[in-house]
Amino acid sequence: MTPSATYSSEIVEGAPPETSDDELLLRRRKRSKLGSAIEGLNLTAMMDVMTILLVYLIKQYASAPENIQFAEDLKPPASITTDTLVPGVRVMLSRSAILVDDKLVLKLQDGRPLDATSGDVNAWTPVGAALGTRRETIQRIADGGGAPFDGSLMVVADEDTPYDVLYGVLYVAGKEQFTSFRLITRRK
Amino acid sequence: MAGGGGGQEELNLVPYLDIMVNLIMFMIVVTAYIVELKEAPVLPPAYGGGGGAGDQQKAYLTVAMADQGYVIIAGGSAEGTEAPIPKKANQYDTRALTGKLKELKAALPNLSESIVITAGSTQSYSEVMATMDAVRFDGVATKPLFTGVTLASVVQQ
Repeated sequence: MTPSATYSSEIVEGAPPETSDDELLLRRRKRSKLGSAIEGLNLTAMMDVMTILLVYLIKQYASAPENIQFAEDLKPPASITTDTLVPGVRVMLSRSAILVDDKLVLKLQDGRPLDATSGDVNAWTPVGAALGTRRETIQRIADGGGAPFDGSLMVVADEDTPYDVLYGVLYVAGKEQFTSFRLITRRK
Repeated sequence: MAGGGGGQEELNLVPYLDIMVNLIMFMIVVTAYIVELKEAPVLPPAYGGGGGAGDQQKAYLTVAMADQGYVIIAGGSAEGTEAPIPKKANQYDTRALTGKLKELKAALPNLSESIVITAGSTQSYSEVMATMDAVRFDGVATKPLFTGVTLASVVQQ
Protein backbone atom coordinates (compact mmCIF):
# COMPACT_ATOMS: atom_id res chain seq x y z
CA MET A 1 0.00 0.00 0.00
CA THR A 2 1.43 3.40 -0.96
CA PRO A 3 1.74 6.18 1.60
CA SER A 4 -0.84 8.30 -0.18
CA ALA A 5 -3.35 5.43 -0.09
CA THR A 6 -2.77 4.97 3.65
CA TYR A 7 -3.30 8.64 4.15
CA SER A 8 -6.58 8.75 2.28
CA SER A 9 -7.92 5.61 4.03
CA GLU A 10 -7.10 7.07 7.43
CA ILE A 11 -9.09 10.15 6.61
CA VAL A 12 -12.14 8.13 5.64
CA GLU A 13 -11.93 5.72 8.59
CA GLY A 14 -11.38 8.33 11.26
CA ALA A 15 -13.79 10.92 9.81
CA PRO A 16 -12.64 13.60 12.27
CA PRO A 17 -13.75 17.21 12.09
CA GLU A 18 -11.34 18.99 9.74
CA THR A 19 -9.57 21.45 11.98
CA SER A 20 -6.28 23.14 11.09
CA ASP A 21 -4.44 21.14 13.84
CA ASP A 22 -5.67 17.85 12.42
CA GLU A 23 -4.58 18.82 8.94
CA LEU A 24 -1.15 19.66 10.28
CA LEU A 25 -0.94 16.32 12.06
CA LEU A 26 -2.00 14.45 8.93
CA ARG A 27 0.54 16.30 6.85
CA ARG A 28 3.29 15.39 9.35
CA ARG A 29 2.19 11.77 9.35
CA LYS A 30 2.23 11.72 5.55
CA ARG A 31 5.72 13.21 5.50
CA SER A 32 7.04 10.66 8.01
CA LYS A 33 5.51 7.76 6.00
CA LEU A 34 7.20 8.94 2.76
CA GLY A 35 10.49 9.27 4.61
CA SER A 36 10.38 5.71 5.90
CA ALA A 37 10.03 4.38 2.32
CA ILE A 38 13.41 5.87 1.41
CA GLU A 39 15.11 4.73 4.64
CA GLY A 40 14.57 1.05 3.93
CA LEU A 41 16.37 0.84 0.54
CA ASN A 42 17.11 -2.83 -0.10
CA LEU A 43 20.62 -3.35 -1.46
CA THR A 44 20.45 -7.14 -1.58
CA ALA A 45 19.10 -7.22 -5.14
CA MET A 46 21.81 -4.85 -6.30
CA MET A 47 24.43 -7.03 -4.58
CA ASP A 48 23.07 -10.04 -6.46
CA VAL A 49 23.39 -8.27 -9.80
CA MET A 50 26.91 -7.08 -9.00
CA THR A 51 28.02 -10.55 -7.89
CA ILE A 52 26.66 -12.17 -11.05
CA LEU A 53 28.41 -9.54 -13.21
CA LEU A 54 31.69 -10.03 -11.35
CA VAL A 55 31.60 -13.84 -11.64
CA TYR A 56 30.78 -13.54 -15.37
CA LEU A 57 33.69 -11.14 -15.98
CA ILE A 58 36.15 -13.28 -13.99
CA LYS A 59 35.12 -16.41 -15.92
CA GLN A 60 35.43 -14.60 -19.24
CA TYR A 61 38.83 -13.17 -18.31
CA ALA A 62 40.17 -16.53 -17.13
CA SER A 63 39.08 -18.47 -20.22
CA ALA A 64 39.97 -15.83 -22.84
CA PRO A 65 42.67 -17.03 -25.27
CA GLU A 66 44.14 -13.53 -25.28
CA ASN A 67 44.91 -13.76 -21.57
CA ILE A 68 48.61 -13.25 -22.24
CA GLN A 69 51.06 -11.86 -19.72
CA PHE A 70 53.30 -9.29 -21.36
CA ALA A 71 56.67 -8.15 -20.11
CA GLU A 72 59.24 -5.60 -21.18
CA ASP A 73 60.95 -8.13 -23.43
CA LEU A 74 57.72 -9.46 -24.92
CA LYS A 75 55.85 -6.92 -27.00
CA PRO A 76 54.10 -8.28 -30.11
CA PRO A 77 54.37 -6.26 -33.35
CA ALA A 78 51.58 -3.98 -34.55
CA SER A 79 49.42 -5.03 -37.49
CA ILE A 80 46.29 -3.95 -39.36
CA THR A 81 44.88 -7.49 -39.29
CA THR A 82 41.44 -7.81 -37.74
CA ASP A 83 41.23 -11.58 -37.16
CA THR A 84 40.05 -12.43 -33.66
CA LEU A 85 42.01 -14.80 -31.46
CA VAL A 86 41.23 -18.50 -31.38
CA PRO A 87 42.57 -20.64 -28.51
CA GLY A 88 45.35 -23.13 -29.15
CA VAL A 89 48.72 -24.29 -27.89
CA ARG A 90 50.73 -21.18 -27.12
CA VAL A 91 54.41 -20.63 -27.72
CA MET A 92 55.93 -17.39 -26.45
CA LEU A 93 59.21 -15.98 -27.73
CA SER A 94 60.59 -13.19 -25.59
CA ARG A 95 64.11 -11.79 -25.86
CA SER A 96 65.19 -13.96 -22.91
CA ALA A 97 63.25 -17.23 -23.19
CA ILE A 98 60.91 -19.49 -25.14
CA LEU A 99 57.86 -20.82 -23.28
CA VAL A 100 55.37 -23.46 -24.38
CA ASP A 101 52.06 -23.02 -22.57
CA ASP A 102 53.80 -20.89 -19.92
CA LYS A 103 56.54 -23.48 -19.27
CA LEU A 104 60.15 -22.47 -19.86
CA VAL A 105 61.77 -24.68 -22.50
CA LEU A 106 64.73 -22.66 -23.79
CA LYS A 107 66.70 -19.69 -22.52
CA LEU A 108 67.74 -16.99 -24.96
CA GLN A 109 70.14 -14.08 -24.86
CA ASP A 110 69.05 -11.04 -26.88
CA GLY A 111 66.58 -13.26 -28.68
CA ARG A 112 69.05 -15.96 -29.69
CA PRO A 113 69.89 -19.38 -28.17
CA LEU A 114 72.58 -19.27 -25.51
CA ASP A 115 74.77 -22.21 -26.50
CA ALA A 116 74.08 -22.67 -30.22
CA THR A 117 73.60 -20.67 -33.37
CA SER A 118 69.97 -20.15 -34.39
CA GLY A 119 70.74 -21.58 -37.85
CA ASP A 120 71.48 -24.89 -36.17
CA VAL A 121 68.34 -27.07 -36.29
CA ASN A 122 69.39 -28.80 -33.05
CA ALA A 123 69.04 -25.49 -31.21
CA TRP A 124 65.26 -25.87 -31.37
CA THR A 125 65.11 -29.49 -30.19
CA PRO A 126 63.81 -28.57 -26.68
CA VAL A 127 61.02 -26.50 -28.26
CA GLY A 128 60.07 -29.38 -30.56
CA ALA A 129 60.11 -31.82 -27.62
CA ALA A 130 57.85 -29.57 -25.53
CA LEU A 131 55.40 -29.10 -28.42
CA GLY A 132 55.40 -32.86 -29.04
CA THR A 133 54.60 -33.54 -25.38
CA ARG A 134 51.79 -30.98 -25.48
CA ARG A 135 50.35 -32.56 -28.64
CA GLU A 136 50.43 -36.02 -27.06
CA THR A 137 48.65 -34.70 -23.97
CA ILE A 138 45.90 -33.14 -26.11
CA GLN A 139 45.56 -36.35 -28.10
CA ARG A 140 45.25 -38.41 -24.88
CA ILE A 141 42.55 -36.04 -23.66
CA ALA A 142 40.81 -36.34 -27.05
CA ASP A 143 40.87 -40.16 -26.71
CA GLY A 144 39.04 -39.75 -23.42
CA GLY A 145 36.30 -37.67 -25.03
CA GLY A 146 37.91 -34.23 -25.05
CA ALA A 147 38.38 -31.79 -27.92
CA PRO A 148 40.48 -33.20 -30.77
CA PHE A 149 43.96 -31.92 -31.61
CA ASP A 150 43.53 -29.39 -34.43
CA GLY A 151 47.19 -28.52 -35.01
CA SER A 152 46.62 -24.93 -33.99
CA LEU A 153 49.56 -22.91 -32.62
CA MET A 154 49.46 -19.37 -31.23
CA VAL A 155 52.83 -17.67 -31.64
CA VAL A 156 53.36 -14.74 -29.29
CA ALA A 157 56.73 -13.23 -30.16
CA ASP A 158 58.53 -10.02 -29.34
CA GLU A 159 58.68 -7.54 -32.22
CA ASP A 160 62.50 -7.60 -32.21
CA THR A 161 62.72 -11.39 -32.55
CA PRO A 162 65.11 -12.25 -35.42
CA TYR A 163 63.42 -13.95 -38.38
CA ASP A 164 65.63 -17.06 -38.18
CA VAL A 165 64.53 -17.64 -34.57
CA LEU A 166 60.85 -17.28 -35.50
CA TYR A 167 61.29 -19.55 -38.49
CA GLY A 168 63.20 -22.13 -36.42
CA VAL A 169 60.30 -22.40 -33.97
CA LEU A 170 57.71 -22.67 -36.77
CA TYR A 171 59.84 -25.32 -38.46
CA VAL A 172 60.01 -27.60 -35.41
CA ALA A 173 56.29 -26.98 -34.74
CA GLY A 174 55.51 -28.12 -38.29
CA LYS A 175 57.50 -31.28 -37.67
CA GLU A 176 55.40 -31.90 -34.54
CA GLN A 177 52.19 -31.89 -36.64
CA PHE A 178 51.16 -28.31 -35.94
CA THR A 179 49.61 -27.10 -39.18
CA SER A 180 47.83 -23.86 -38.35
CA PHE A 181 50.09 -21.03 -37.20
CA ARG A 182 48.65 -17.79 -35.93
CA LEU A 183 50.95 -14.90 -35.15
CA ILE A 184 49.61 -12.71 -32.35
CA THR A 185 49.78 -8.99 -33.01
CA ARG A 186 48.79 -5.73 -31.42
CA ARG A 187 46.09 -3.80 -33.22
CA LYS A 188 47.60 -0.83 -35.08
CA MET B 1 19.43 -13.00 28.36
CA ALA B 2 19.51 -9.55 29.81
CA GLY B 3 20.58 -6.74 27.47
CA GLY B 4 21.65 -9.21 24.82
CA GLY B 5 20.32 -7.17 21.95
CA GLY B 6 18.04 -9.90 20.70
CA GLY B 7 16.76 -7.82 17.72
CA GLN B 8 18.36 -8.70 14.35
CA GLU B 9 20.15 -5.70 12.91
CA GLU B 10 20.37 -5.42 9.12
CA LEU B 11 23.81 -6.09 7.60
CA ASN B 12 25.37 -2.96 6.09
CA LEU B 13 25.91 -3.86 2.43
CA VAL B 14 27.18 -0.48 1.24
CA PRO B 15 30.94 -1.25 1.70
CA TYR B 16 30.51 -4.59 -0.09
CA LEU B 17 28.73 -2.81 -2.90
CA ASP B 18 31.60 -0.32 -3.19
CA ILE B 19 34.12 -3.15 -3.50
CA MET B 20 31.98 -4.90 -6.11
CA VAL B 21 31.62 -1.77 -8.24
CA ASN B 22 35.37 -1.12 -8.13
CA LEU B 23 36.17 -4.72 -9.04
CA ILE B 24 33.73 -4.69 -11.95
CA MET B 25 35.13 -1.43 -13.29
CA PHE B 26 38.66 -2.86 -13.06
CA MET B 27 37.65 -6.05 -14.88
CA ILE B 28 35.89 -4.13 -17.66
CA VAL B 29 38.93 -1.87 -18.20
CA VAL B 30 41.34 -4.84 -18.26
CA THR B 31 39.11 -6.79 -20.67
CA ALA B 32 38.84 -3.77 -23.00
CA TYR B 33 42.65 -3.55 -23.15
CA ILE B 34 43.08 -7.25 -23.90
CA VAL B 35 40.59 -7.20 -26.80
CA GLU B 36 43.09 -5.09 -28.77
CA LEU B 37 45.12 -8.22 -29.60
CA LYS B 38 44.59 -9.77 -33.04
CA GLU B 39 46.12 -12.61 -35.01
CA ALA B 40 47.64 -13.07 -38.46
CA PRO B 41 47.33 -16.59 -39.89
CA VAL B 42 50.37 -18.17 -41.53
CA LEU B 43 50.51 -21.33 -43.60
CA PRO B 44 53.07 -23.89 -42.38
CA PRO B 45 56.49 -23.82 -44.04
CA ALA B 46 56.38 -25.79 -47.30
CA TYR B 47 58.77 -28.71 -47.18
CA GLY B 48 60.56 -29.07 -50.51
CA GLY B 49 59.35 -25.73 -51.95
CA GLY B 50 56.00 -24.62 -53.27
CA GLY B 51 53.52 -21.92 -52.50
CA GLY B 52 51.52 -23.58 -49.77
CA ALA B 53 48.99 -26.35 -49.43
CA GLY B 54 46.78 -27.17 -52.45
CA ASP B 55 48.28 -24.56 -54.76
CA GLN B 56 50.88 -26.58 -56.64
CA GLN B 57 49.29 -26.04 -60.09
CA LYS B 58 49.32 -22.25 -59.87
CA ALA B 59 52.12 -19.75 -60.25
CA TYR B 60 53.21 -18.21 -57.00
CA LEU B 61 55.19 -15.20 -55.91
CA THR B 62 58.01 -15.06 -53.40
CA VAL B 63 58.89 -11.83 -51.59
CA ALA B 64 62.44 -11.92 -50.32
CA MET B 65 63.45 -9.36 -47.69
CA ALA B 66 67.03 -8.57 -48.55
CA ASP B 67 69.21 -6.07 -46.71
CA GLN B 68 68.82 -3.59 -49.59
CA GLY B 69 65.05 -3.99 -49.98
CA TYR B 70 62.38 -6.29 -51.39
CA VAL B 71 63.04 -8.73 -54.20
CA ILE B 72 59.96 -10.29 -55.84
CA ILE B 73 60.43 -13.61 -57.57
CA ALA B 74 57.60 -14.83 -59.80
CA GLY B 75 57.28 -18.56 -60.29
CA GLY B 76 60.09 -19.40 -57.90
CA SER B 77 62.87 -19.12 -60.48
CA ALA B 78 65.59 -16.56 -61.14
CA GLU B 79 64.11 -15.71 -64.58
CA GLY B 80 60.98 -14.39 -62.97
CA THR B 81 62.79 -11.95 -60.68
CA GLU B 82 61.29 -8.47 -60.78
CA ALA B 83 63.23 -5.24 -60.31
CA PRO B 84 64.05 -4.87 -56.60
CA ILE B 85 62.17 -2.38 -54.43
CA PRO B 86 64.87 -0.52 -52.49
CA LYS B 87 64.50 0.66 -48.90
CA LYS B 88 63.38 4.23 -48.21
CA ALA B 89 65.15 5.97 -45.34
CA ASN B 90 66.45 2.60 -44.20
CA GLN B 91 62.87 1.26 -43.97
CA TYR B 92 61.20 -1.32 -46.21
CA ASP B 93 58.90 0.40 -48.71
CA THR B 94 55.72 -1.54 -47.96
CA ARG B 95 53.51 0.79 -50.02
CA ALA B 96 55.61 0.21 -53.17
CA LEU B 97 55.49 -3.54 -52.48
CA THR B 98 51.68 -3.50 -52.33
CA GLY B 99 51.54 -1.50 -55.59
CA LYS B 100 53.89 -3.90 -57.36
CA LEU B 101 51.97 -6.96 -56.13
CA LYS B 102 48.69 -5.45 -57.38
CA GLU B 103 50.28 -4.96 -60.82
CA LEU B 104 51.54 -8.55 -60.88
CA LYS B 105 48.19 -9.93 -59.73
CA ALA B 106 46.46 -8.14 -62.61
CA ALA B 107 49.10 -9.22 -65.14
CA LEU B 108 49.32 -12.90 -64.11
CA PRO B 109 45.85 -14.51 -64.14
CA ASN B 110 47.13 -17.91 -63.04
CA LEU B 111 48.59 -16.53 -59.84
CA SER B 112 48.04 -18.33 -56.56
CA GLU B 113 46.22 -16.58 -53.70
CA SER B 114 49.10 -17.67 -51.48
CA ILE B 115 52.42 -15.90 -51.36
CA VAL B 116 55.77 -16.83 -49.86
CA ILE B 117 57.77 -14.45 -47.68
CA THR B 118 61.36 -15.07 -46.80
CA ALA B 119 63.90 -13.02 -44.89
CA GLY B 120 67.42 -13.17 -43.50
CA SER B 121 68.66 -13.54 -39.97
CA THR B 122 69.03 -9.76 -39.64
CA GLN B 123 65.37 -8.96 -40.31
CA SER B 124 63.15 -8.56 -37.27
CA TYR B 125 59.70 -9.95 -36.65
CA SER B 126 58.14 -6.46 -36.80
CA GLU B 127 59.59 -5.96 -40.32
CA VAL B 128 58.23 -9.34 -41.37
CA MET B 129 54.81 -8.44 -39.94
CA ALA B 130 54.81 -5.10 -41.82
CA THR B 131 55.60 -7.04 -45.00
CA MET B 132 52.81 -9.52 -44.24
CA ASP B 133 50.37 -6.61 -43.91
CA ALA B 134 51.56 -5.15 -47.23
CA VAL B 135 51.11 -8.55 -48.90
CA ARG B 136 47.79 -9.51 -47.34
CA PHE B 137 45.97 -6.18 -47.59
CA ASP B 138 45.71 -3.29 -50.02
CA GLY B 139 46.22 -0.57 -47.41
CA VAL B 140 43.33 -1.52 -45.12
CA ALA B 141 42.15 -4.80 -43.63
CA THR B 142 38.89 -4.67 -45.61
CA LYS B 143 40.75 -4.92 -48.95
CA PRO B 144 42.46 -8.33 -49.15
CA LEU B 145 45.25 -8.89 -51.67
CA PHE B 146 46.86 -12.30 -51.09
CA THR B 147 44.91 -14.38 -48.59
CA GLY B 148 47.57 -16.95 -47.68
CA VAL B 149 51.08 -16.28 -46.44
CA THR B 150 53.81 -18.90 -46.07
CA LEU B 151 57.04 -18.13 -44.28
CA ALA B 152 59.95 -19.79 -46.06
CA SER B 153 63.39 -20.73 -44.82
CA VAL B 154 66.02 -18.12 -44.03
CA VAL B 155 67.81 -16.42 -46.94
CA GLN B 156 71.59 -16.48 -46.71
CA GLN B 157 72.69 -12.91 -47.49
